[in-house]
Amino acid sequence: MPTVSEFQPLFDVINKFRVFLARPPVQLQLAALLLILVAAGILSLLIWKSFGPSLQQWRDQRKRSWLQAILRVVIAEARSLSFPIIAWGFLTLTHYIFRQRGYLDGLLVGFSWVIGTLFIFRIIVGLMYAILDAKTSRQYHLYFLRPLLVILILIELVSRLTEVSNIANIVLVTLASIPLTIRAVAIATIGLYFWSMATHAIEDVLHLFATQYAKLDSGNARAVLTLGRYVALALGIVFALSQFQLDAATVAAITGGLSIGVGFGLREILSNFISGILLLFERSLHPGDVIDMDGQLSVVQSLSVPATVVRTLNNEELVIPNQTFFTRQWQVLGDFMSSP
Amino acid sequence: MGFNITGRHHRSTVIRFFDVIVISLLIGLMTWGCQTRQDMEVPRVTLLAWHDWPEPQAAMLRDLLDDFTTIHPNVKIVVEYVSGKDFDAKFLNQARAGLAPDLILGPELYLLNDLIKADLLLNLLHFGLDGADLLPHTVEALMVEGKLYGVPFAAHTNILYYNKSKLKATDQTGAASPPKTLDALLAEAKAGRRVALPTDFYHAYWGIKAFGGSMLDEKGQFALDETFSAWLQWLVKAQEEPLMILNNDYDALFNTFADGEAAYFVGNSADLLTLNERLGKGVLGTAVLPRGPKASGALMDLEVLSISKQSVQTELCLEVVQFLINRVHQRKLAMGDFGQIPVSRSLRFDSRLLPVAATLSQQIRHTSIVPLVHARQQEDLFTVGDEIYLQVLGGELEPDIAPATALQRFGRLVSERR
Repeated sequence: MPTVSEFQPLFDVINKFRVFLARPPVQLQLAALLLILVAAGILSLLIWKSFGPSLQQWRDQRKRSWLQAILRVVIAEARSLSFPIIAWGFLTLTHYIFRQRGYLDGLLVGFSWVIGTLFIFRIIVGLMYAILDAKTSRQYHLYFLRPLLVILILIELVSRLTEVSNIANIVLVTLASIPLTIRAVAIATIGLYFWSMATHAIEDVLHLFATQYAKLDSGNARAVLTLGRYVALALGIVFALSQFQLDAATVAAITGGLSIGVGFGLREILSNFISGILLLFERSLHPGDVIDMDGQLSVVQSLSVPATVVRTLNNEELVIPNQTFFTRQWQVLGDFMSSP
Repeated sequence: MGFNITGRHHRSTVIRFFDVIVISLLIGLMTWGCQTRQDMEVPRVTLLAWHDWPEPQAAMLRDLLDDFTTIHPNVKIVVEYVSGKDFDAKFLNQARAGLAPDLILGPELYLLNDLIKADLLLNLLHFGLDGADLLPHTVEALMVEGKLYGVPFAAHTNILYYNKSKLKATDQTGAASPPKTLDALLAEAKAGRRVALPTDFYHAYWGIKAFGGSMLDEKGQFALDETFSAWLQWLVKAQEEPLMILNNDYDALFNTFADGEAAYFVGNSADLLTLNERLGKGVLGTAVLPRGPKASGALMDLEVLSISKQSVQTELCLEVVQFLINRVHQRKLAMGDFGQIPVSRSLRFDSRLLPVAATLSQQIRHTSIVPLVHARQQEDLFTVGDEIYLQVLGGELEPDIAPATALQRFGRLVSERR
């Protein structure tokens, strides 16, 4: 078990927080920053409550669809960026007042980095909502970009108090003579999570461009991109595992164990995975196809690597594992989308 | 598809919850930090101290500070290493946000000047600090316009290192001892023992003092006179001896000695630990620098303790400083055998029990210190001095005119900088 002294860098950061927070100039700067955030939040909300609906109405009144589309992006970005822009304005004003009065302003200067990062984050979020559908955008916004922003800001804050590497190198636990540091664990968990989300996002964006702008076949594009994502994900897993500095014997033991696991438990998953890739590449199934499987009619809703989603005539949504299409009989009766 | 302008996602519960958490965290932290902590069961005060001591000296410093926190269990001292080259830039940057450390130890004196200029250090003169036991010239060197911005804690200077095995191997009588005079040092080279003498201005300054010279004149200005010429003449004569290695590359000479290829080496006391490790146990010997017509004395670097003006724990910081400079802890510092020399004038060491501490303690009494106010100009003098040594030993400049030439070039360099 790690001792208290091994966690000392972490305690030191907390203790340093206490040293600094006891200082009036630091308190003043933090209070000013808090005020800036609250004021910018309220003002941004008030502005959009007052002008948002009328802007939306004005946009909808435009007759040309391309103009509406452009206005949609512009208004989405304006709304998304209103908070960082107002906060930046308040920050500049506060900074000016602090300088005029001779107050310490280093934290305000440092905070402009946070506002800048937030600005870029909001641009990406705005674009994402303008390009992707609302449900997907919301997922990436809440579960990918926002946590990423928080982590970046946290790292920046910690780096102001200590060397981040001091914290990252703390050994959490030693397993089979392998010291698990905070860095290794963070990369293998949080890092891998973000990598997985990033590969998903890239796949979605590329698929959108491939189908809407390059006019490529959706099934083929999805197959290639999905395969690419899995390769990228595998590389990410290899990188994450490399952080644990496992020796050859340990890797052999783990992979040996895994192969047994794959043989018994994960066989079905692998089978579905490979079937999914084949279905996508062969283009034997498309969204909108009416299929007959075991006498039951259904319409294909979507295809993914592990499973296919179909809707039955009773309006029930079924998730069919892809290996089913290679083990049972089925036939395509027609394309529901192109039916007159 | 597309962005919904009503933007429901902006008002989602998750986001509001997240915002509330972040704001509550900020308010909580502020409240926690602002309270006096007297309401807590065990009042705890934390200090932040920066130093630029490498390991294992840093471990000794932490030990000393741990002694303090043992006596004062309500105090926690967070000790951080900051490399010397980043020290002032990092301090200035942190201070701009109010995040400067409470205490600092050991930056180069010229770096301290930057912090004084930025009005970031506390004048310690009127806080009742008892520095009576400190070597007076070390305290005087830190005075700037009647103010004291730091107190000396330790020092290091140049001494004569020798290789005991080499001495024994080439001595027939069995009573070999390191040379006490410049002539004796030359005789050692003639007797077949290699001597490594660095000839950059900083490491070779001790010879000027051996001929009666001084760093500053009565007006407190940098002075180089005929004593510098006399020293250079001695060096010109010495370099004729094949086993007298004169070189301005300190590191090369250091390695020559550390590899056991030289019997003597004039080096910095800060290198004591490394040399001990490289030569092996019981091989390294230390002696005071050989004297000329007068006692030799090298330049001394001070490790200074200063208190930041941003600290809200001034009284406690003063207690720590007083604790570190007291006689008991100065002795502990000397016992560490890291080449850090205590600056307490009342400390005496028996050379039979603590030969290294005794040598260092003896050497420090004849050292010169460039006052804090001249710390920046000192760098210019070293630059000019290095050139002069090269030219004289290369036969391009006569030792007689070297002092005047050096002062002329130094004056030009200083005025150019202005």
